[in-house]
Amino acid sequence: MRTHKAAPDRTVPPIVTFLRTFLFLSLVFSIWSVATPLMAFPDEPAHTIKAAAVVRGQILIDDGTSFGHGVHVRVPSYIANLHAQDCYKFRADKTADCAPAIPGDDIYETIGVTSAGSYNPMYYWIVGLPSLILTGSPALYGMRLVSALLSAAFYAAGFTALTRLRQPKFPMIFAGLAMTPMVLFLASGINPNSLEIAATMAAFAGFVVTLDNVHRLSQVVPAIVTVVASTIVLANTRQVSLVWLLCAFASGIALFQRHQIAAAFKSRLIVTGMLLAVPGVLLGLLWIYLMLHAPANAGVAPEGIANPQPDVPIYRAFLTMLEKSPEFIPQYIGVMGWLDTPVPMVVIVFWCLIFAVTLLLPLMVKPRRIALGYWVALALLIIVPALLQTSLWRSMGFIWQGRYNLPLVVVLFMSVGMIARLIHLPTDGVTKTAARVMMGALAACQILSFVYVLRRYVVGVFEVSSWPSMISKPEWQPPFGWVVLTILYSALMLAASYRVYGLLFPGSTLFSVRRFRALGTTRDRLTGAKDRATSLTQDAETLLPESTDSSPTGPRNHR
Amino acid sequence: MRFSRPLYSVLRRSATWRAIIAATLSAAALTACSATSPPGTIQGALTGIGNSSQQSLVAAWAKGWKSENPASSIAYSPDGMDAGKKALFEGQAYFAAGPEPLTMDEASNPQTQCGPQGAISIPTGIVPVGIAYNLESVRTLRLDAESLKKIFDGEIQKWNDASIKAQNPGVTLPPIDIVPILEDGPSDSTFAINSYFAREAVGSANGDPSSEWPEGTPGLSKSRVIDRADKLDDTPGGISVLERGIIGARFSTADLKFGDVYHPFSGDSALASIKSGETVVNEGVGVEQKMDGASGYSLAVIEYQYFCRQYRNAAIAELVRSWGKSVLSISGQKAANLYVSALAPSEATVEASLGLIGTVRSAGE
Repeated sequence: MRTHKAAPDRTVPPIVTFLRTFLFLSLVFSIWSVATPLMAFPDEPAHTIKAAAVVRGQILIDDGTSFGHGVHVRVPSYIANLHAQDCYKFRADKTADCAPAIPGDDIYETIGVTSAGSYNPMYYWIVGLPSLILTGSPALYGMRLVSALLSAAFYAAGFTALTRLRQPKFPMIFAGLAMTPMVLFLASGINPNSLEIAATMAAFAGFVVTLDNVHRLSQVVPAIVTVVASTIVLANTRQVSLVWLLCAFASGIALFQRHQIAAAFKSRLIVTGMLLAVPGVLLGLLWIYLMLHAPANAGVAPEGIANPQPDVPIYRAFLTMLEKSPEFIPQYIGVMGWLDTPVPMVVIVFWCLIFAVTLLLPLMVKPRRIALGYWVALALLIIVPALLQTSLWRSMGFIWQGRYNLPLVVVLFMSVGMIARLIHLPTDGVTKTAARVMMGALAACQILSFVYVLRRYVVGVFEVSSWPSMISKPEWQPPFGWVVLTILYSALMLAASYRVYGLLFPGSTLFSVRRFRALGTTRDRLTGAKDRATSLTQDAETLLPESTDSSPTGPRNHR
Repeated sequence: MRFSRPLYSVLRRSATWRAIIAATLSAAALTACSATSPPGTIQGALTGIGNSSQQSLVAAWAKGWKSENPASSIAYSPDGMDAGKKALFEGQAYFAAGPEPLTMDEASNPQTQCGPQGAISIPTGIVPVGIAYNLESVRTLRLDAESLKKIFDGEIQKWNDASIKAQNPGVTLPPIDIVPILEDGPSDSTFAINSYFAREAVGSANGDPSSEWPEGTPGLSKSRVIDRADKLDDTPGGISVLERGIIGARFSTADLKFGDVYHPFSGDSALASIKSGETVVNEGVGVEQKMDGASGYSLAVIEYQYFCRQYRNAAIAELVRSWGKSVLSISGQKAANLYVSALAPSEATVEASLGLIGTVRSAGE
């Protein structure tokens, strides 16, 4: 029986790391997909209708089909009727059982309305495929799972790329910290926002790995491929996705020195990668051009309905966004559903602590120039969304949500991780104990968020605690039941904490299997517990990527 | 993992493969089972386009309709009556809405998506429109159509103008400016008041009443209606055209002259006008609600909805019939009154309209 795993071999092929990470994240996202009622993700009906239309050949906007509330498309009735699932929307006290069943035989073609009519069809074409072979709620779960797998693939590519940094520990840790409950939740629904965050993360990760290995690029070809794939995907997701990509590149460039950047762009591999990305980017730009010249709305909603504040000057809109920037932090952490289910305050507080440490850490690193990438990422996070919202003020009013900024939040965290490579992490007992507490708290926060959101849909959230009702009188159950899903999710989060701890302190484990022997009073209990723990440890270790940091003491301080 | 091991041995030892197989089987189980529709269920998505003044009404009706038919949904876009009619005739909507009935040409056109029998229009609600004013010392005020028109044209500029004084003997009118606060842009209330001028004001221009004020009309504002109401509250001497739901008990309103009689702006007076008003059943077009100015206050937006007589699918036809019946039901009209202060059409109108809704069919029925 092994009590801990030895430091992983650096020669683990990237494809193995990718597959294991992909499998792990797919399981995490799939559990969220199944645990969340259909159409409970923000704007999910509009995106689902769009996906069903695109996969049926309705790609461009036809004349006379665009109206104030959206574009009219022809889809099966059960998909057009997805807005009927909105009985619990914006009402945390309503359980999900008020929503009608989605029948599989309601398939006649009818008018569906989508507000995503002008979005690039690439994501939707992929996600809509299950609706061609399945109907009813199975089709919708299938579409969700496809979207979740797509996000998992890009996150896995990003984490895999990070393992190829010269000192990957802290960039990987901070990338993991950026995976807030909100990020995991969003990755599991039908919404291109999920792919946008994942692809931006992957693009940034691949980009910094490329620049970090500029003198041995042949060893990081997968990272270059990741950047190319992410670039093409972001160019063909939403119009704003290219802005996030540019911000990611700008932050990445600011992390390195001029000679490294110059050497990178002189490399044949890099130039080849850029050339391969060009057709995909041009396709995305073509789509933007087509939508700018799309048929006009058949009608125009009157002023005051289209924008509730048409008289407010533009500069005040910009200042309003700047002022609201800190208010988005809870939405970065976890406001699930249709912005009606915030995660528990203890989770918000804990992650605010992580945000505070993340924002302050670069101030402690010298030389200060090293932190330039962080400052660029932070400035872009504050200013770019403000500019984008201001540009939409007159036509749409104040519509910005924190989840739109998450691509830049992930980039910010990873930028800090890159800077934190200069920090030496002590390996004494106190540090390890503190790390154990943090890892345990992280896992607990993720699990608490998951089960709290489940509670909202299973029994509702009221002034008086409804936890006992989850056991005695659940009004709605997700497929497989909330208990099974919670156990599975908890196991995955504990496994992730175990792996992250092993990343921080190679050769050490989050918890010792020997300690399980000391629990319990009979030999049988001890044996059973030992077997389960061993199995869990082994299973956990094989599910996650191995750290490539082989140093037992961590990196040296580069001051 | 060595590929020479037996598969069973591989699966037994490899947690990764076990996880993959479990996940695949779970996904298959998840995607295998599908519910079927219980017989007789009214379900589906209903799409409508129409005038903005019916947006709140449709929301009020939708509440009741969806509680009766939880497996249904409705999407309504306030793009305007003309856009709504076009959408209905081109098959981009299942119903449309506007402040006037269909014409014979529109209703009987066999070349539209409504099929050879064309479309119908039925009245669904009446929203009284009042002339609200802000004169602290004046509790009752009478205005006829000519005076009101001259006020909005800018010809009468003072409250103590002779023509206003003549209609209000014994009332002390202040010598202050009249400040119109009017909606800039197409509006059903503007259409209603221009219709009133066309009927009642001597010397009004011929032609169809407009839904917009002429260019140069003083006091035009693109603000939201609640902002215009706030502005009226803050403007001594102000005068505005507002719907009943906005006026409420907040503003004083003028008694208007219909024919030879002044009627107050009140629910009872408007109801009397509706009750005495004629129900016109136009064969091939639909039902029209008239209001009787001799019996009561009759400046109002009469809301209509337009439907095809025939839809290509039985489920859609059933949805439309269900919607029409719910809108015209007692509970539907109560909801319209509660949320939007709209009044119900007369009993004769409702009965005729329900009869017409019942004739909506699908191509195969």
